[in-house]
Amino acid sequence: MRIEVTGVSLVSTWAWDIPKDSSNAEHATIQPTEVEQEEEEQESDEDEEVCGICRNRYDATCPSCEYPGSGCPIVLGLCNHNFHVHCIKQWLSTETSRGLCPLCRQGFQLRTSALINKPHYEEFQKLLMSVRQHNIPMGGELDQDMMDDGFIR
Amino acid sequence: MSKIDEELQLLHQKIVLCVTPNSEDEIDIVLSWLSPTFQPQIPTLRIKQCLKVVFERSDERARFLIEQYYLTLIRTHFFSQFDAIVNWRDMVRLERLYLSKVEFILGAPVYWIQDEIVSFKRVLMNKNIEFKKRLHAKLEAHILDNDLDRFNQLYQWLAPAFDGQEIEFNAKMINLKVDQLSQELMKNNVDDRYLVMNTYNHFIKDFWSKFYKSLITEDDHELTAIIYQSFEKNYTKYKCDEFYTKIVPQFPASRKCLLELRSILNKDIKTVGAKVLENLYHGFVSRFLTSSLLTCEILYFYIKTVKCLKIIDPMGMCLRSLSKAVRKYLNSRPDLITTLVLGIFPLHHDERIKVACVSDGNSIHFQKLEQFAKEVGDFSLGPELPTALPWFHQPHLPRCTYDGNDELLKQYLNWVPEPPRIRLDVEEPEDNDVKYVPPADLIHVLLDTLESKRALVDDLLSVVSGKFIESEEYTLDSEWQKIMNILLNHLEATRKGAVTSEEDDLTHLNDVDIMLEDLKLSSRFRNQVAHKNNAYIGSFPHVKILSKLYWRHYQSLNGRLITSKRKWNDEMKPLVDNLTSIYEVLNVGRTLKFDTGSSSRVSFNMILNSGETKSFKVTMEQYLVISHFQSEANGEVGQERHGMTTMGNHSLPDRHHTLTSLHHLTSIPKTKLLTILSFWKQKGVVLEHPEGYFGIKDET
Repeated sequence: MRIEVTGVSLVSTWAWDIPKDSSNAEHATIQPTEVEQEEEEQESDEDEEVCGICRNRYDATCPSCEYPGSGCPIVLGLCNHNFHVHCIKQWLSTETSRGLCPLCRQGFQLRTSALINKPHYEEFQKLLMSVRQHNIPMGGELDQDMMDDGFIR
Repeated sequence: MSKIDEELQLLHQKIVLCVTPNSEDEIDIVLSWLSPTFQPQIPTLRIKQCLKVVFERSDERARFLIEQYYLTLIRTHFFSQFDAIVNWRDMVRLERLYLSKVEFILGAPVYWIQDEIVSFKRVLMNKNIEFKKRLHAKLEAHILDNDLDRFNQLYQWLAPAFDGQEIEFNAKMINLKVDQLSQELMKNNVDDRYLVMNTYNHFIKDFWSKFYKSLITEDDHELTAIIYQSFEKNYTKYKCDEFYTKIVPQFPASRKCLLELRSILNKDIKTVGAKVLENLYHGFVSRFLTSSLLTCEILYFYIKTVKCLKIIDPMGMCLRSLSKAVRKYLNSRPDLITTLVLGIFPLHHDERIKVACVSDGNSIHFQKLEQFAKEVGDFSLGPELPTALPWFHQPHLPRCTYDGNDELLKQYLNWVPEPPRIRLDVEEPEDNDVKYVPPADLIHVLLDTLESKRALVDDLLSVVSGKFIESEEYTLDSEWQKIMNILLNHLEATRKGAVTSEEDDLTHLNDVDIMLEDLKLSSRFRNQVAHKNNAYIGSFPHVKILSKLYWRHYQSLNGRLITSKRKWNDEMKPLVDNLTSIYEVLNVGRTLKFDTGSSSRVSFNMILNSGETKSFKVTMEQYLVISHFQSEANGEVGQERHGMTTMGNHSLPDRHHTLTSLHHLTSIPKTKLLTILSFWKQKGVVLEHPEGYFGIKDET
């Protein structure tokens, strides 16, 4: 018996291409049992892949957007915290942010290696620069710490 | 001796004194003969001679006294027979008897005896109940049998004795005929239009033209108008009685009947119309809102009733109350949403069973559900009715035209009176001030049965999203597109605040927007792929890329997202890899996760070793499983090309598989594999060997 495919109608969902941590990769080498696999079918997407600010999933929109995906992209932070672009930009443009990650309070930076950050890299550089300029006159221990942490390059 | 005997004796003596002497014997004989009981009735020769003698010798006074004597005799006789007179013929016999002797003496009936007979009839009609009853029954029978000659004869006999009751009697007879004709021609007839007019014409032609001549001196137009109204009243009564037994079940065949009823009710909507609609409301509640009927049956009759009510109650007076009652009753039923979903969507039978099984479908009766779904049909409430003011749109009729810019004047000239505000007693007082807009289509009627529309719209979106995914193209077929449009209209109305909105409605609207945007982007991606003219992709045009979170198709009952992760076979892998890489180039930072589950479809020809070719269109999972049964030569080609081992590790022949080997090849759970293999077994392709492995049927 042989099969000649005459037509295919494929359905796919899109997802953000977020590089996995090495710890996750190790975990992936362990073969799940069949029962676990059945469970995984339903639960794999239930991971806490949510924006640290709006708490909406990465593949959902932030509160100010209509369409997900290219309409509402995400960025990956060097500190392993990820956000919707609009959420983190809004956060960074507030005075209280001081250019820090809202979750870990480290200086926020984009992961340069991540392809997902590429379209936003330049924009964020400018934004972080302006935050730095804004923060210099204020002085204080915190700004110094941020510089030490490599937030401002 | 009684008083009558004394009176008769006194009169006898007076007569003897008045008549010329020596005639006593003749007088005795004549007076004896005058008695109604005297036999023989026909006078003998001797009696005739005596009569001649007596009347020749008597003067005016004597004759008057003889008349008085005779009247006393027949009165005595009449009242002695009074209770025995029960039939019309009894009285006719007596009348003849009383008249016959007078006629013999005087040659013709005279006024005094005529008056006496009329008095007798009057007394009979007033005092003898049995006689009156039987006479009326006889007259009614003649009327009903259309035997107007006999009726006329009887009526003329009775007419002088009516004593002012003739109007009441005539009205009774007319009503009788009206009722008879109404029953014959209107009852159980829901197919014909102008039924009232035709019945009335029948009445006028066959009955009234003869009837009025005998009763009434001239044709009274006011009376005929009242008769016409009686026909209308009867029509309304019959149609009210038949509303749920004939009109509603036979709709749309009964549409003509409803239009006629509507025209009658419109004449007096405030009293007659409101009363009829109130009766219809109570009729529906008592007949259909009962626990003995299934939800789909109630909804079926509700839909039919709404279609009918839309004609006779365009302002929605009854419908408003009815929808409230139905909503209140049905919302306690757990299968309401499922029934609505199954009824609204043009699902196939097996799809219906699937939906029914997901929820508690035990109470679903599929045959009755089919009936309900058929009735919902295209969601329309039937053909449009003529406008309320048809003359308003008749250009040939004279009307004021104004082409100027004065808006106020234009508004004044185009003003149309508001419909009267009627309130049924069944309405609750607190709702009276809320402006009610009758539903425009059946989807609104059905949505109106729900206290909260959230659950239904949820289900609705879930089914529509499934249909979008299953569809070959990026659009729905016309039938489903119609549902989608209705859904969008509802959601748009929610956005504009035209209908009562719930918070979730806006979420629904957002989801629909994203679904449509996904399809648009998928179509664009397909064009981009086609533009690149990729060798693998050229023949596989349909790719749908979805935002999973917004497609309810991917949500399980508990709201979790479902994904299927299967291993591609050698034929599909390069295809999906290529598509993914193109997508990743076009959409930086994003990748594709193809659904290997039931959403993706594959069409293929299966060429068996016997040379037979079978065509299939199956889900990706079903395809992936069967593809591993391909003969060895095909498998080897695949292995060489992609450097993969597919079947080499197994002791069984290459085209045979156990559940475990298939699980390793496809990553499909074994329970699911069994279902898929059972599908192929049903198709006659796969055979299960007693040893526990599976193989292709024609090769075993």
